[in-house]
Amino acid sequence: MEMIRRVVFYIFFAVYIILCPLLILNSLGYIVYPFKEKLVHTGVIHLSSWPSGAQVFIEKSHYAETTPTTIRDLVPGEYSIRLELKGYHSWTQKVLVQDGKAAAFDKILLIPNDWNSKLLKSGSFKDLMPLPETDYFLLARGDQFKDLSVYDWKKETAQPFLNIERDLAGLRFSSFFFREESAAVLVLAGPLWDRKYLYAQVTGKGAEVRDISKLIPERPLTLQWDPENPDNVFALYEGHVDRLDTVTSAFYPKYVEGVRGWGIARDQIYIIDENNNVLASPIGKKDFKPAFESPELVDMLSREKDFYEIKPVAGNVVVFLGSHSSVIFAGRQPYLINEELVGVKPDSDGRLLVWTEKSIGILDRSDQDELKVSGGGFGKVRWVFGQGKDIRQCFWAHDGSHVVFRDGNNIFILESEPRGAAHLEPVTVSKENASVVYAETKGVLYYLGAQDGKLYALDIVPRKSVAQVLLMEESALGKGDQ
Amino acid sequence: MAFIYSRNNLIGRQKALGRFFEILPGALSWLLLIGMFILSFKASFIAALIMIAFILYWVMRLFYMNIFLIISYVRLAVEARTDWMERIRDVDNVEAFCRSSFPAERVSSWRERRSRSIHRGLLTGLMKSGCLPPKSSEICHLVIIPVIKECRAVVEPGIRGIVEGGFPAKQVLLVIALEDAASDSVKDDMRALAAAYKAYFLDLVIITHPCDLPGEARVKGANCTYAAKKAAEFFTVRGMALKNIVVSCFDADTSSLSDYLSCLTYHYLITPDRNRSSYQPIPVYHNNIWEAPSFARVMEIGTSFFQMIESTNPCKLVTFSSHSMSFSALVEIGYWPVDMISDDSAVFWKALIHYKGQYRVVPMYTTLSMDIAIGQGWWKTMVSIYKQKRRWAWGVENFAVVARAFFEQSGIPLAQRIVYITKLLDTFVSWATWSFLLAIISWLPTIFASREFTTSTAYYALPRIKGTIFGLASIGVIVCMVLSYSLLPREAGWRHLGRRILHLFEWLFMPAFILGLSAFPALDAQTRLMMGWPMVFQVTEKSARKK
Repeated sequence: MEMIRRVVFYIFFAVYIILCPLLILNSLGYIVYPFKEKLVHTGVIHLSSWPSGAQVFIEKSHYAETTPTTIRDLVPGEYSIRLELKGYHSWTQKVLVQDGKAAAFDKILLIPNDWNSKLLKSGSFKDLMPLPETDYFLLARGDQFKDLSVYDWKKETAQPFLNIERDLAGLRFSSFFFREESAAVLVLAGPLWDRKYLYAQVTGKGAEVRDISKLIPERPLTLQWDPENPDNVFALYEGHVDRLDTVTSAFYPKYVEGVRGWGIARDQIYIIDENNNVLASPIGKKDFKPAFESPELVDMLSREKDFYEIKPVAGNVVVFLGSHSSVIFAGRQPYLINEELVGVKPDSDGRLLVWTEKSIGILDRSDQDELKVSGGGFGKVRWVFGQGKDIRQCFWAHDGSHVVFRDGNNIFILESEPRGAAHLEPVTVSKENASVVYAETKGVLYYLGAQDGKLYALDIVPRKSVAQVLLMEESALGKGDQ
Repeated sequence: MAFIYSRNNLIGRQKALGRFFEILPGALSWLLLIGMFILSFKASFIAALIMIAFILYWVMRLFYMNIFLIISYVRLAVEARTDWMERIRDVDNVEAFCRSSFPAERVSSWRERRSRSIHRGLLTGLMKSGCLPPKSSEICHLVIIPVIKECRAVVEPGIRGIVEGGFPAKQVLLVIALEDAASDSVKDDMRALAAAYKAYFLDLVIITHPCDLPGEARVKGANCTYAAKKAAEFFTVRGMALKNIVVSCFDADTSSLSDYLSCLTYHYLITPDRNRSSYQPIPVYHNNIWEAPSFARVMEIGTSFFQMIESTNPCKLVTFSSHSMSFSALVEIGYWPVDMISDDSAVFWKALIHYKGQYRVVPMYTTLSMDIAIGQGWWKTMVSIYKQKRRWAWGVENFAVVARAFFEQSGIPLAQRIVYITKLLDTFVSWATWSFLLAIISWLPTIFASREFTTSTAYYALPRIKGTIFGLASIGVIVCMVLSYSLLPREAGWRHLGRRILHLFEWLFMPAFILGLSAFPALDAQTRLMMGWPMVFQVTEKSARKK
């Protein structure tokens, strides 16, 4: 028995000693090239598309597997990859394969030949007004409150905006003030001689409206509130800010004076004082202290005479939006963009989507933790699109791999990390001047039809369950060799 | 100076060495787990390559063990119908048997042919060794059954098995080693048992072990040692030579003893260095296997399989659970340790150290059946098994003592010391870490993948390699399924087709069971030893069999 054991042991030992390095070498991409009988360092291409099941073509050869798949043992060089799926545009890409490296295309979005649009509400709407980063948007058939309804896109149900205060039904509205991540909306309504400021908390059952007109003696430049503390509203006037407590009706005129920039977020009021210092105070305490110790930031903010909107976006990133330039500050070196940014949107990976009227760019977070915002050519805005005419709205889509944007009335979808020329595809056309809503959690775009003004839902990327996605990815990674 | 086989009452250098070796296994296990965890997100690329090497090593070891599991199973099957008393008679007449040039025997089955072939080989070896055995009639067995909580219904099947077995019970001294702390009902039960069976044996005595004797811990070894010392006096008074006495220490729930003593006698007689050997049967847990929850059943079959694999490697085999040895050796080494929980393996190490490496374990291809530790309900059974496995894993305390002995004693050959220490360390560290590495940590490099790793071919190779290797590993699980299917007792539970099919599927959950009820308790035990936290001997609940 001992002899058998010893022999078997040595056999296994020898097999392991031979097999282990071979397996590791293979995992590093080394293979014996079949024709030249020499060791070749190869690379892989990983392809994962939505929808899955697309046929894969390498150069002109048909690959045996469909997406998601990993094409292994590719000798370094450039390959032309094409994905084809019935009912969708083909997707092509030149891919440079390097030895020991993987070229991963794990969020390829195949564009359908015909987008699947679903009519949600018949009857023509005049406008669609998003409550950004909430479950709701407002639909207006006319300019009176009775024409206004709240649409809950998660449940796909609509309710009249006024659920109790029926006496306001005939009142005409003229302007709306929204705040990201807040279901509150401030409406300016009524005739010039009897202006009303109505503050409403929107719910799936309509809105609860409070008249706060007496707290706003004259028309402000704009109004803001903290989504986490919506009872305190701040009104911006030329050079000063009023504070209004909408619950107690307390009014604090000229709460802060001498401001040339402001923002409300995270239970703080941020201002830029006349010396270009950024100060912050807890809401309600009026205890202003320097928010950031950065002479470079002060310097950049002083270059233009802009009035800046201060917008803390994600983590430690704060954006200063001005009419001539914008500054992005992430705790270290501030980064100046010499253009007026229309909007900024962070994604879950800490990247920032920024856009102007004509261009769309992305600021990447480094592998470590800081946003790459230093001015030394490192981490500058990566402009991925520059042929826009009037870009008003941008949304991250397909887990950040794409951007859905509205340029004028045209909706497009664009790759956010193109390798080579970006794949840009038109999606649809919306009603003139009406906003659109893209719900990333559902992968659905809500818009008003260009011709009929009806509300439509368009599937951009119908969401799969997390389990489905993981299963598909795992099976793709585990699939066999070429 | 004689080596003190104990963790307690050490001083100076011995204490420092002992403590170092107590810390070592737990520290290595934690270092491996934490190290791989940190490496997985600090250097996921390197961690992935290490994982590939490890998973390959694991699957090859799995196959390696499977081969010996099958060999062991075949040996068990070969000896299943062996008439050990007939074999003993051959050994009694070994010279005549060998002189007759092994007359041709008319046997029909391959099993019998193989069994006889092994038998002839052993007889030849015995003759060549020149260490001819005493006659079987001169052999006396001392059977010790330690009792503390067990009632008559638990102990009686084992005693009845000896009485009904082939080996003459009149050559057996049966000692019920009763703890004084046992309840009155248990004591009454044992007295009734003694009265009922005394006449069948050379003698059946109840030796009551007083509580808290100086130097003792509340462990089974203390009770057995006390009983063995009293038995030694018994033999001395009667003028019986200790060298012809074989001692067996059984758990109280041990059954299927009918063939055991004859098998043991045969192995004792045919082993040339019979008084420098322990005799290890294959423990199975069939007494209540169909009453146990699935996870308990699978876990204990796994334990039996492990022992079957170990039995194919006699040069590294260590005693486990119920086993036997020469009584003279037991007396010479100073009996079982009286302050250590894992006395079953400790006695082997004690003998190995005492005889300076000239001691071994002889595997016996016969089974001894015991109870699966089950409690009232599913959860209590799980707790009970967890505690039992932790107690077994506490065997790591032997590592500290053995390593200290090997470090201090120069009598044992260096190569042998290295082999044993490596094996011990490997056993305990792999027991506590492998399941965690395979089930949890092997996923981490992909989860914490750095950009360098995600853009490498290895990132895409790791899941594929893992998938292939785990697929191959399922062959090992299938082997276990098939063997467990054929080893299970054909009792009431077996006759139910649905349960038999269900039993096969129970194996699919084996990885989860091993993680929770084997690796976790092992890590728990090692951590306790490393930290110097005490471990209390807890008697596993034994259930009376229904039949």
